[in-house]
Amino acid sequence: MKPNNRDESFDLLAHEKKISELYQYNKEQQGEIPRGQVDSEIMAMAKQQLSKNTSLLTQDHKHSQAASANKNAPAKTLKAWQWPFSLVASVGILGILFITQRDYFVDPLNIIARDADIVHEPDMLTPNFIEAENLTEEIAADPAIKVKQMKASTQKPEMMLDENPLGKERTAEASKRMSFRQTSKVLHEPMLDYSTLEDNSLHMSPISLADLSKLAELLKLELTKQNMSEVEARASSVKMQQTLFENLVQYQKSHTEFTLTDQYLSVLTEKQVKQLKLAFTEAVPEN
Amino acid sequence: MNSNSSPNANIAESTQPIPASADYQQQTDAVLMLQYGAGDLRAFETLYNRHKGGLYRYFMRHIPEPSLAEDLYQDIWNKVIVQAIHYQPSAKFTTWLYTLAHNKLVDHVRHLSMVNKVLVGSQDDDTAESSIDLKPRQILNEAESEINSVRAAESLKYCIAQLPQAQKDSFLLKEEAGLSVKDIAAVLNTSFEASKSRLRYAYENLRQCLHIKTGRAIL
Repeated sequence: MKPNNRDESFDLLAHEKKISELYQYNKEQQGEIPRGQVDSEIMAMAKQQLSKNTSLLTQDHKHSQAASANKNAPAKTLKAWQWPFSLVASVGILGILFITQRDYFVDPLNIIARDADIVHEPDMLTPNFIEAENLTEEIAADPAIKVKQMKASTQKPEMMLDENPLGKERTAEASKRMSFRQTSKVLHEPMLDYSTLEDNSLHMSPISLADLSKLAELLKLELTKQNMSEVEARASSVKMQQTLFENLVQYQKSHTEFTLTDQYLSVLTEKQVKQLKLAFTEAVPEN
Repeated sequence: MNSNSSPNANIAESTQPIPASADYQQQTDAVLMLQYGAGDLRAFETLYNRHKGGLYRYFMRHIPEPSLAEDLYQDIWNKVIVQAIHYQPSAKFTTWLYTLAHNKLVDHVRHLSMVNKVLVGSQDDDTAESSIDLKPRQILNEAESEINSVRAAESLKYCIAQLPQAQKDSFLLKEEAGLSVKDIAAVLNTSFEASKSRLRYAYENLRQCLHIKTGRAIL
């Protein structure tokens, strides 16, 4: 007999069923089971293993607890040190900031003085007229340099330089000596030599004596102001001094009969007074 | 052939939750195993009582020496006990249990003095159509001694013992463990068709053997 194996189902045939029934009947009748001793041995093994498992589980639990404790330990240490570390770092950063930027904290005046150069502005703006005058005379006396004097009120003096090397040398030296401190950008604007003043006079609107007087008064008041901070007072007064000085020069040019009184001289700087007097003495013979 | 089978395989009963206090008899094998793994000795007791007869007879049918069969039987339960804590109910418990038993049996037989005899039997078993080699004289003698007292059940036991190894294995797994052909194939590590064929031939050989032994046809 060739059984049909094509499908996955398996149904017992009639004789197979009979054999199966016979076997099951035989199994029940004979009651073939292991001896009681074997059963008890196996149950003892099971009980023993159970106690082993329990101890193993307890050990595992302890190990896992220890492992988790070990894992938490560094975290706790880190957390404990986090606070002081942050504090120290913050203090350190602030300290470094203070040390490097101390000037900004201790003396704010220095900051303005250094950064803006406002305080030193008058010194830089004021040219060395005496030196320049001497140099002009020297140049005029030098035969190598021809100075063509133009009309003072309208034209700047032009210097025609000869081509000979001696003349060039002298001119270079003269120009070197005549150069003002031009470190600041501000210096380029108000050039206070004669030519500039004359040139400026063309563009400046004429100012009356009353206005000049008012300006002088105002300047005096400014200088005596006590409630203003030193820097602000100096900065504003310097500007006013400059304005007054320029206007006085201008006024002198146009009004030869004008005489400098203490009203003006007391509020101007020594240099400005000197230059003003010099300009005044030069303007009188010219006229 | 793998001697240590893993208890992991897919099965629907694995999804069942472990009852806190349950009627152990109604619980599935997998649940009982999990309960024992969790420390419940009564669960194991129930499981053991459920399968002890079948497994014992499985070994007894294969090994004629009862003490040796008992040793192997104990070894298998020892394995079950040890692996209970790691048991994942992803395989049908009986399939797993009888896979352990089958592998144990094969390993043991190979290391015994009877290895040659078994190997010769195994070689013969390679063909599913192998039949019981009953010498007429042997049958006659044995039949004469038992002629009046032999019952059909004892004749059946005798015939089972005469079956080729593979057919005997398939037959016992079917009748003792109640496994399906598919599960038998899994335990014996063969194809479904091979297991089915072996079963057919086992029943047929038993029918013929019983006919000879009892002198009357079963069917």
